[in-house]
Amino acid sequence: MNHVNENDNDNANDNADIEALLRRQFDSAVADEGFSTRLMQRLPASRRRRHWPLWAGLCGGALAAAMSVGSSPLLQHGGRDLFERQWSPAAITLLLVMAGLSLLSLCWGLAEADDHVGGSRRAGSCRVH
Amino acid sequence: MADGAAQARIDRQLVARALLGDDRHAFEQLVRRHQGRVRAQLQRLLHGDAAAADDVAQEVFLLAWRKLHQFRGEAEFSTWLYRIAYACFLQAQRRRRDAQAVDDEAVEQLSAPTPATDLAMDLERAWRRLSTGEQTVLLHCVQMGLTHEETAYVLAMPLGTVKSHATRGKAKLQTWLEAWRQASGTERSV
Repeated sequence: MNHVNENDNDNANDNADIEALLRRQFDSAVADEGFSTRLMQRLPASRRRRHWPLWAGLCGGALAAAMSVGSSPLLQHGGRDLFERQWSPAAITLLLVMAGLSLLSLCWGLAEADDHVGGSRRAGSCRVH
Repeated sequence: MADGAAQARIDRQLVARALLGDDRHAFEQLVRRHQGRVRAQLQRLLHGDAAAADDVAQEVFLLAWRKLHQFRGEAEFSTWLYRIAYACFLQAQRRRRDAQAVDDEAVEQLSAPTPATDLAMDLERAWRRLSTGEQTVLLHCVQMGLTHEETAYVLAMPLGTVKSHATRGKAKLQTWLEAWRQASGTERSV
C-alpha cells in the first residue's frame, strides 16, 4: 500500500515538474508594441443586429396561416370536439397537426442549439458563437 | 481565484459597455487586456511565427468585435477569445495549405523559438515529437493554465479526449526527458 502511495507521489511530482518546465518555456503574454492601436484603426463601425425582420416574418406567416385555415371546417370542428373531449377524426387530425408542428419546432430548436454550441467546429469557417 | 473572478467581472462590464453604447473605447480596453495572451497563444500554435500570429490575432479581434453580441457569458471572455483564436488559426492553416505546399523542413525551422538552455532545447525537441493534439491540449491546459473544461470549450473537443491527450502528452515528455533528468541528477550528486 505504501509502495502504491509512493508511486502516486512520484507521479504527481513528475507531473508537477513537467508542468513547471512547460510553463517556463511559454511566453505567457506578448508585449503590445502598437498592436492595439493598429487594430483599433482598422475596426469597422459595428453593425447592430436587427430583430424586426424576424418578427415581421413570424407575424406575417401566422397571419397568412390563420387566414388560409381559419375558416376551414376541419379546424372549427376539431377545435370544438377537442374542447368537448370528443375524439372525432377532426379532433385527432388537429391533435396530430399540433404534435407535428411541436416536433418541427423542437427539431429547429435543437438544430439552433447545436449550431450555437458547435459552430466553430465546422470546417472551413472561423465562426464562433 | 478572487482575482480571476474580478477580472472576469471587469471583462463582462466592458463587453456590456461595448454592446450597449457601441463603445469603441470599452472594446479597446478589452483588446489591450487580452491581446498579449491571444498573441502568445497564436505564436505558439504557429510555431513562433510572430508576423503570422499577429495577422491572425487581428482577424480574431475584428471577428470578436463583429460577434460581440453572441458572447453570452457562458465562458469567461478570455476563454471565448481563445476559442475564436483557435478557430481562426485552423482556418489560417487551411488557407496556407491551399495556397502553397508547405515544406516540412521550413516548418521545422519556424518551430524552434530560440531555446536558451540545454533543458529548453531538450524540451523543445521532445515537444515537437508530440502529436498535434497533445501539443495543442498541453499548450492550453498547462502553459496557458486553462482548466480541462475550458480547454475542451476552446478546442471544441470532447472533455475525455482533452484529458487523455494531456495525460499521454505529459507521460511522453516525462519518458523522453528522463535521460536528461538522470544525467543532471548525476551531475548534481558529483
